[in-house]
Amino acid sequence: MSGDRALARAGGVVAPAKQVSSSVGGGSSPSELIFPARTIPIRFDHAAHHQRGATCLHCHPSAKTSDSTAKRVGWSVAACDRCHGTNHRDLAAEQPTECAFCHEGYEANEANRVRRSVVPSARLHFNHRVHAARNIGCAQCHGAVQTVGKTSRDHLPRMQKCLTCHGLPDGSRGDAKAGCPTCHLTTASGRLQTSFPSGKLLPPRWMGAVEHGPDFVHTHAVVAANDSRFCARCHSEADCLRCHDGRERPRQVHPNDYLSMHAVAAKQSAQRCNSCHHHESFCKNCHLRAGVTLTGPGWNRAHRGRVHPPAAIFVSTPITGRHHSVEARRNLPACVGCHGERDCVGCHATRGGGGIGVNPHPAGFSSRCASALARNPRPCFVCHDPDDALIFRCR
Amino acid sequence: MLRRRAPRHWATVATFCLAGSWAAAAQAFEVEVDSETTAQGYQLRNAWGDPVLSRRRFLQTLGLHVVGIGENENAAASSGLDMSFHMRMRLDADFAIQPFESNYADYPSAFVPGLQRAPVDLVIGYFDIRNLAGGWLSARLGRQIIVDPLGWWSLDGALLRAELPVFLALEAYGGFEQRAGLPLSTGRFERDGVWRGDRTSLDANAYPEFLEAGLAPAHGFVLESIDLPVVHARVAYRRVWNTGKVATSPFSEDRVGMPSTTDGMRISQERLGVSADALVEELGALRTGLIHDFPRAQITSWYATLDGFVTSWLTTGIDVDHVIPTFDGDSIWSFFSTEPTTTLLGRGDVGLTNRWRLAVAGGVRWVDIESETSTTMLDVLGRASVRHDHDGGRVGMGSLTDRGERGSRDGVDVFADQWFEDRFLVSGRVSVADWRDAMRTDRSTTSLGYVLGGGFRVGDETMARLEWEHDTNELVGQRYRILASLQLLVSR
Repeated sequence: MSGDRALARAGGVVAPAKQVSSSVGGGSSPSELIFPARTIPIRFDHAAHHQRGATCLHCHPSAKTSDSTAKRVGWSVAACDRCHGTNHRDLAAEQPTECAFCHEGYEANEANRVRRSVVPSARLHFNHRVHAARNIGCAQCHGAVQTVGKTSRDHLPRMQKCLTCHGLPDGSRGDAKAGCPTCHLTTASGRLQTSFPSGKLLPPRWMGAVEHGPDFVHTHAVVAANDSRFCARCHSEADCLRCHDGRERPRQVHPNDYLSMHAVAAKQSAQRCNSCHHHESFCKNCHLRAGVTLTGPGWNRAHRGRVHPPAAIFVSTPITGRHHSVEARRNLPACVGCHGERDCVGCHATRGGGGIGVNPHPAGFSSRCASALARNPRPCFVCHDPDDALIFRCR
Repeated sequence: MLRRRAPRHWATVATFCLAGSWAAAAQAFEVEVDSETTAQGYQLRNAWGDPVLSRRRFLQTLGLHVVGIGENENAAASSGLDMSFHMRMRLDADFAIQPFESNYADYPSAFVPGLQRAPVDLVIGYFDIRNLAGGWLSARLGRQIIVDPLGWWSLDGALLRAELPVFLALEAYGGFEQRAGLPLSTGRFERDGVWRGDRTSLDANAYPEFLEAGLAPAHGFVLESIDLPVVHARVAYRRVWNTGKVATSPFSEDRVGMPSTTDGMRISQERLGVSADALVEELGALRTGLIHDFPRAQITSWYATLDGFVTSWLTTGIDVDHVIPTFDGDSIWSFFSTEPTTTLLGRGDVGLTNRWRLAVAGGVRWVDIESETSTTMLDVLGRASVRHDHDGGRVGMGSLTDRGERGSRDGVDVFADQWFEDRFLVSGRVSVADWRDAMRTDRSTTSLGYVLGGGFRVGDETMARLEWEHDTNELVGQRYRILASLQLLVSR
């Protein structure tokens, strides 16, 4: 299923508040890249306050008015003062012994110095005011806060819960906008901002099964082939080209001495080398210069030895498992990295230039050669004269 | 008669300036310019030690993104169109290439067809227009990359996408394939099997198998499901033609002095790809696909991957991949007998903790050869990698084994990156690899290599790096590589 569908699938109706707990709606804790680590050295019991009739808005009045994550929705000390009889506006009038009631780690001999709360803004676009106006209750995103003492990161919203509305299909989503940039920060180029000082923002598993784990470099091809638009939400063409254009070497794919080892790797299987390297423009250019090819400039072939096993095994009959015909059938792209057409045509052609007519075609080729000839006669004419009887048969 | 083409660098600069000045004329838009400069020097040698090729490479890419074109500060005056322009130019130079290697007129025996000392190419350069026709139509015009079940590919042309109100999107495109030898182009996106480029300076019977690049008209379509629950599917069709007169006989010099040729429009590729996915969030995912090749009249590739979400920290999977090599329609190899390679792998990905992650995969790859000696060639594959991400850095290890009748490769690679004060980067990598070449046992050896690197973050998006690599093995002795890079990003 595509990322879009995963988003849409993340819910259908707004969940009852009880269901939005730390164990529902995303599994592990919310990402610290979205909600940076916070320090709140305050003793507070939400359940106790709730039992005494306090509502969320008693302590978090700006939850109805905040229109961005920069405008925090944290508690208001004025609310504390109203019930506890304290006065944070005139701390000199307070008895130091009372501070420790709420402030963790407070030492009486420290006068009015308490540990500072650090609550960085979430790296999201979010408008509490709009959501409150839609009658979306606090518990729908933050869970059953009224049942716990001090809240934790587990009570921060999960993306899956956002998608209960934002992931609905167009017709039923109402005013809730879809698309990643609705909530996530973007770069100037319009793609999601994924790089933060503390790390890279990566997609969760439930969203398209594209966890970017240590093996993803080997498994991402299918994801991109099947749903490239999903990848494009975060990645630009430059990210793909960085590896797939064969200009820069990704060390997780080709570690240090791969240059020395690549010949063995190609002999084992070269079927997928062309996902990054075009054989003619990448491999052959270098092989010609290094003098490992049959054709090409002669100046650098003076010291050349034999690349393949001895001719008695590799070229002559009888055909064994190490014969070049077996190699070609097993792993033809590896041959193409060094050889040009003329290296094959010398033996396989039937036309006058020296070919001895060894048939390289697969069994049953004659039944579909007419179609091949009609689509493109060029490869046929490389080996066969246009007036060759075999060509007439295919016409 | 030899002809030379005018340098293309001026065209590159002019294009870039035009785009920039045009962008400046727009109103409320955002501009992002990024640049990446990499310089590296190293040597390589062929299997017999000589000759040694020096590489002194300089890679410069320059990207320009203009987003919000035509938008007005006054939202009410905006057209509603979402227009942007994206461009990326690249200079990929190797200053160790000797001038005589690309000078056929004076040094025909040293000439390497297609080799250029400092080619410049336009990687992408397109306008992206969205929200046309009330939001259901979008378009891309220019050089763009298309990624679909048929692979990834470069088109110079136009692509239209319509998202229909029936869970369906339709894309249709037409234009030309990017081809080596054409201005500001590389051969990266062509099909394999044809050596192609600019023959302007070559005699007609020199390297006849090096074909003159011509325009390659192309068209295709993609049909894609959208907004369907659980499943997603795509069907992609693409047809590309070869055009122009090209040589057919690689032995022309032995005949009448001039190569025989063929002309006209010929199929380069015609393929149909189908993919289908299913994702059940708490259970797993299945991805499948296949490619039918019309000239070969057979399915040349199919694959399936199945992921199972066993627990919140464990994902297991099975991959199967079956591929028959295919080539450009002009290539004789298109109709050579080739056997499919099938790979079957089992995978596991474990989140050991929030910071430790382990992935393992293992399986087999086989090819059935039906000939005088009918046989199955079986290779055993495995890889394991582990990564630990911590504040300001990461350490990890990757390893692989690939063992079969054609030889073996076994290797371990340990790496670490660490940032200091969010500004200074220190990185290192140590590799040990052993390979055995069963076809040429004298080409087997063990290699030890390390990389030491450092970086300095000049600004939020500006980074300079330096790397030193040293590898040693018995075949080529000591190899060194030094690499310096600078990344810049400017937004407005």
